[in-house]
Amino acid sequence: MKHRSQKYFARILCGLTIAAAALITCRVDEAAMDLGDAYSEIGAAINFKANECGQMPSYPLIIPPEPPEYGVRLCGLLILGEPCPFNNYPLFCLELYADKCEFCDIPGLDP
Amino acid sequence: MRIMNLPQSSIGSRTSRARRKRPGALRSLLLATIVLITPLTALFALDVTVQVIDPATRKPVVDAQLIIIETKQKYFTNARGEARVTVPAAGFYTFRAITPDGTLVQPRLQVISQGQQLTIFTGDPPAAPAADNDTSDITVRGQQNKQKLSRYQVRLDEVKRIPGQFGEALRGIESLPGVNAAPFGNGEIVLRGANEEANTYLVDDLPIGYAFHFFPVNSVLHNDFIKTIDIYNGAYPANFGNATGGVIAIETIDEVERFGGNASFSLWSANALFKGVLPGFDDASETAPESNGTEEVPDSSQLFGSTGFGFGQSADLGDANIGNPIAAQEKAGGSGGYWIGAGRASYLHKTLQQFAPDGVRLPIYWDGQFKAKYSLSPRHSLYFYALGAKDTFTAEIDNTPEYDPTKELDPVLLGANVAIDRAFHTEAVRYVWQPGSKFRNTLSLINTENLFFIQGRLGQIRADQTISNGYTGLRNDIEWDVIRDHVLIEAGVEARASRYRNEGITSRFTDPNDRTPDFFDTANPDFVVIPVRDYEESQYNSGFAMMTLAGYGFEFKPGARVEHFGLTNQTVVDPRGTLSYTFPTKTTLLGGAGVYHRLPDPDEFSPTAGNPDLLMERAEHYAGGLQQELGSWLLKGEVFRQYFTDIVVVDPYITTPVRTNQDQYTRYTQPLLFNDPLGFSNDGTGFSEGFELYIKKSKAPNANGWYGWLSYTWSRAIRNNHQHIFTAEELARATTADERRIIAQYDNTKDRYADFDRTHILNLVFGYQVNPEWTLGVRWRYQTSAPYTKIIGDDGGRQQNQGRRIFDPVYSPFENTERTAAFHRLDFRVDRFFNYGWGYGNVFVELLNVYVRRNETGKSWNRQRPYSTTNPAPEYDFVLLQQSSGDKTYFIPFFNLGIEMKF
Repeated sequence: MKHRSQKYFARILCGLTIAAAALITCRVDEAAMDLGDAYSEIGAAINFKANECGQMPSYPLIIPPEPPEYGVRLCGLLILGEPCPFNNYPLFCLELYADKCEFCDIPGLDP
Repeated sequence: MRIMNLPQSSIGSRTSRARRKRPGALRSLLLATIVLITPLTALFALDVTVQVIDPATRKPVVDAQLIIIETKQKYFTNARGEARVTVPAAGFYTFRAITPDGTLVQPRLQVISQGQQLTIFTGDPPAAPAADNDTSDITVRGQQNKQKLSRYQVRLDEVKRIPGQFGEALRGIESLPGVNAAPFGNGEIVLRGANEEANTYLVDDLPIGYAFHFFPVNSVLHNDFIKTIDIYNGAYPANFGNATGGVIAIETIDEVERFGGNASFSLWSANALFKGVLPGFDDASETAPESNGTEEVPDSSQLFGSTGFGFGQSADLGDANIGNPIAAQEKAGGSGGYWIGAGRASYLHKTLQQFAPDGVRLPIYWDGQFKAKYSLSPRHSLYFYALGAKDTFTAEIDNTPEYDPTKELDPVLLGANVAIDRAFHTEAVRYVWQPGSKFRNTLSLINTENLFFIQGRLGQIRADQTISNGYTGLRNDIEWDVIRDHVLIEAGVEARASRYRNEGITSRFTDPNDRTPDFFDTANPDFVVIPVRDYEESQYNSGFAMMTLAGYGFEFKPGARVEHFGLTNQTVVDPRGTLSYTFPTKTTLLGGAGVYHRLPDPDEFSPTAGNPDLLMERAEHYAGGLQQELGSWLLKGEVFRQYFTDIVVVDPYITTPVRTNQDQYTRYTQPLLFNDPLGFSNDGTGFSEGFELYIKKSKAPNANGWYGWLSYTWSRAIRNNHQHIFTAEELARATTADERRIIAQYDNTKDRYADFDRTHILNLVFGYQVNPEWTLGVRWRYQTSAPYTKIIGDDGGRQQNQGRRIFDPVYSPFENTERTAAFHRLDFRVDRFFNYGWGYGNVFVELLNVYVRRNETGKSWNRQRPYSTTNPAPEYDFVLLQQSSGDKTYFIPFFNLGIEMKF
């Protein structure tokens, strides 16, 4: 009786462990951001700054597909902190391209 | 002939069984490991104590011959009727007992552990006599005859090892029907849609200031101090008061057989409990037991100590105490008692401080419990209690700008600081007089105090307050079993001298409907700073009477409670009652209703800074249901509806014509304040309704097998604070305070879902005791998410904190109409017990959120950024571990490890 229950328990434990291990490896999230969300976040910052300063850069900020979340956040916050007049986008918005070009991953700025 | 086989420590048997099975090197390795960390007592042949008892006289049989048939060993019982015998290994043995008068019994008993105590009866135990004046059965029925309606009881062993609650037994109630708790919340629970603060926690009918520490993984009670928890979701009886929600009645252990204890350790705190027996004044005259040859004489406290130790369960559980009935009666017949002391101290500010943001010192807390009982005689007992806890927390957020703006904290918090202390202590002396099985009188002298200190600043909000409130009370309760099984009367009175002291300054919203107050606007502040100086003493007296009338399957429990609060001179009378009918099939129909009141919080009725005319909050509870018992199964379904009135809400418009000025700087030039805001009113209303389903399978605490329950609650909770919401047009037209006060009389509010409302709550709890070494537990929770108000924009960043812009959200006018996806989570726990003669060691592993679901708990708003599709963002519960690698983030279930020792 005892042996049977121990076997039963061992099977349950084994099954649960395997199931848990399978599930654990399944959950992976990409750090990249949806392009629409990136434009929304940075666009909100640009709009705010444009309203505050009364003008904005004459050229658009091109955001690459699947930009890194950190780069989008950093660029948006830097735009909000820019002094008026708002003529150019902050240099560190290069972090938007950190996955695309090597020199765009600015040293000292990491998530 | 009846034989009781009561293992003193079923845990102890595991070692021996394991030893038999494991061969060679593995066994040596295992033994060497155990030797390093444990005493050697359990490593060799099993010594067990066999006691022979004559059930007719309830006395041990001296000089009885005891033969183990399998080993041919022969022993004689000593003066205590005991013989210490040795068997080569665990297993079944045939014991032949021959008494001096020639009676022979030959039971077959199972030996499973070192130090186990076996009992052999030489005949059938006699039925308990039912004479009215018999003091051997002195449990008055009222103590056991709790109402069935809206009450759920759990034993410690059922809730202590529920996965996902970090070993905290008190959190086990969160899995019961009608209980709504935020996933990994701060310990506050909502019972049937009543507000969180509307519940009362009682420990042996004594108040505790709060149930959980600032770090809510820990409660303020040691697990093993608890015997059972009764949770009254609603329609609770008249002996409880001051709660418009429910009552969590915690019963502590009330029997100690021998010196022992329990200790456990975790990454953030450690706790320990010790307990021991107090000798009786007649123990000195007790004849020293005679040794009989090879036998050892056990400690006197173990004379009848045949306790059913469950692995993982307290030895002192109510139902677990399969206690020897004769032993219990013998114990009750003499003087003596016990003491229990428990304590906990945190050290997460040392171990986990590195994970806290800069400037935040993680909470430091401790708690302690002491209980002692001394029986002067079977009829007179004294209890002493001391319960206490203290929490401290400090934070001072640095204002230095970060090089990387993404690393900055919420701009509102920069430069803020806060220091909070809170504590409570409760002391009580209780005298129980029980002249027979029909009457019991309990007299309690109680002193309790809650202390709170806060000092801090956040923008324009300032607080510097020291608050203490408590009471010294004298309470007397009687239980009179007028006609056994038919008429029971319970009554009680309590007189409290309440104290309330509050001094310092506090801040208050000027508009409670403003969900985004400006913390930094000095020109037109959204907060006012109010001086407070209260030194109040008042009476709070109460009394109750209730009767149980039972017969022909019916049980009617009418009752009433009277409460008088001296400060506001308010007296309330609350009728309450339940009615049930039980069919012979153990099917019970249940119904009940009642009126309930609750005192406002002291700072709300503060004479200097609050509204001293506040009434008690009021509730009406209605409930009905059906219960079916089927062996170890219990099926229960209930419907309920509750109405809440006079809820205390923040009210910016209510004023008092005149009040004395408490501001130490302006009081001499302006001693009286006219039209001074009172801050709070009883304008809030609400209701809740729903139904609950509960299916439970029980098992004996020390038996192998499974237990568990399914609880499901459907409910909705509605609230309305009836505070006029000013429209932009009204604000433009009405510019003076008088005009706005007149407009505020018009109630333009609508009922809304309460912030904590959850439509569906489903809990599935499963525990399986495979054998004495292993147990496993599984819990699955499903909850509709709480409602929230949609954010539809931002305010344009009007606020600033020292140069940092703050974006406040703009909310939709449709309050609490949105919900995120439902929450569900699977938790898993495995316990491994190492059983020895002195107790057991337990190592457990918890796996939280096994299938790695990212449960959204709400929406978080980042005040650094304007409104966009990423702000507000989903907010997730923390029970996942994250590991970033490159551009990917891996999530794994949260692990928790713990160690416990019981001795």
